Amino acid sequence: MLSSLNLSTGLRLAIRARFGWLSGSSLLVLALAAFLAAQFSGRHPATVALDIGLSVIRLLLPLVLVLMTQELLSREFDRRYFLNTLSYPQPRHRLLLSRFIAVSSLTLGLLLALSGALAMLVWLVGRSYAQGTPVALDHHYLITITLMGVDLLVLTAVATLLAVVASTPSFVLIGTFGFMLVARSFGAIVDLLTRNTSVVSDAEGYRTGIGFLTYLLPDLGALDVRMVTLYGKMDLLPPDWPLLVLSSLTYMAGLLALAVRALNRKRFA
Amino acid sequence: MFAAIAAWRAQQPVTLKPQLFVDRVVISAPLLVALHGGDRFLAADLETMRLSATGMDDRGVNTGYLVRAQREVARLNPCHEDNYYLANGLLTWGGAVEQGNEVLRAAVKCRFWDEFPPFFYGINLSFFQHENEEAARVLEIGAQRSTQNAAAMRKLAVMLRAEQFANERLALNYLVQQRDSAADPKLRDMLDKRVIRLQGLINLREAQRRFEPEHGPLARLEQLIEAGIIDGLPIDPLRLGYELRDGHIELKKLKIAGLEEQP
Repeated sequence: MLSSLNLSTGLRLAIRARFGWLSGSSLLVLALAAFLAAQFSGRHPATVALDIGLSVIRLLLPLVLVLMTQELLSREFDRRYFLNTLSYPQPRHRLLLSRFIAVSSLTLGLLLALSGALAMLVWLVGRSYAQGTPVALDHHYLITITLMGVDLLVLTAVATLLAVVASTPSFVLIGTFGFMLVARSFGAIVDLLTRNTSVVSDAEGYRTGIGFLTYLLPDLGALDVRMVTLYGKMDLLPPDWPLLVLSSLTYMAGLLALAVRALNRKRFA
Repeated sequence: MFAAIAAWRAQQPVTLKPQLFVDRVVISAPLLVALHGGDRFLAADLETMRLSATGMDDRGVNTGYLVRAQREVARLNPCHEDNYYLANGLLTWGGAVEQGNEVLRAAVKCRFWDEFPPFFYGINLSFFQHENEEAARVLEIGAQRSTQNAAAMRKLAVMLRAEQFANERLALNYLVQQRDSAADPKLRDMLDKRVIRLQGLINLREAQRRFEPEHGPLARLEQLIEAGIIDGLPIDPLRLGYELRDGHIELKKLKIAGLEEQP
């Protein structure tokens, strides 16, 4: 009873922070970007529209998620709402987890809405030109979107931890985006440095240095399996994807546990 | 004080710094990934848009840029369809044979379902580099992937192995077809120049065939004019020209890395 009340408070806070306006403008940006990108491709407009659209979603949703986390968690400590919320008879972690669930359900809901809109747009673009390799908007698309959702869940957990630990709300933005940038790119960079070593003078050293990150960060870049839907071939899915998803979810649970611990030990002045 | 310094700075004569060689910048693939938020597909798409929107003038000035940019795209996303298509049309047929074929090779490997990259690559191998054995092997890969053109590609492979094929006719036919199916007028224009270039080569080889029974082996292209078989050397719209190599008339290749030899 109390937890559902918590959740609805979170959702209402998000609505008050103009979540509707935010999602509407992301939809607009997505539609514009995908539609314009399709004009630049001679041979496969639908593939490029889908590709750019997925990239836009992957860049916009972390922003929405961070803004919502700032609103739902950082504000709590910033504006001393906790004087009120923590006076209810409930453990602290319940507050944190219900806010986390609120943010992640808003993000995943927006992901579903955006990907639905994108699928429609790509279908419209693809109608005008018959491609040699058509895009696959069926279960291939669902798999891609699902793995993207896992990626977003990890980022939400990072933002939650930072919101509890950090003293200013803007650190949530900087920290989450820094984490996102590193976790998404190191896999690809290691891969590229393996194949062409002429880019930097000491490619081997760089490679081992960046490869060390594998033990610290989840490989969010590998969760991007959009080639499956871009070219409609199931073989392009990395064979170790269950392990990949499992390791990301474990990482998320670990981050949440850290956040709960940090909140329980937090001393409110 | 500030006004005085500003006035003094304004008085200084403008020194013209010697301009270093300026070309379009292409960032290497690992850095591009980091700059695009860890998204290699976005980086590949944007880079392809940039290179396809870049104007190209006829003297091969920008071919160096295209070579570098398309190589980076092929590293980011070797499956990119526009990239291999443009690389085949603009690089390989624009004189940068080896570099264009490199992009095609990556596409053959990545697009394991697509029959066209092996087809383009096989034709290029046989036409530009005379590696008929390798070309036939690649064409058979294409034939395995194809549903409609399998028989034709197999036949081509067999004929290449038998080395009884006038490959410039085939190349002309397929270039003409590529030109006619291009939707973009600019691309059509560029491919058209390559068709004219190839037509010139065919005319020259035809002239050589008529020349040699009467006058013996050809030593210089100008001998064809002196013997009165042709009125003048055909004009290459790409301004690269033709050359005689080991008794065969060939398209002159663009020298990419070193000094460029403009005819």
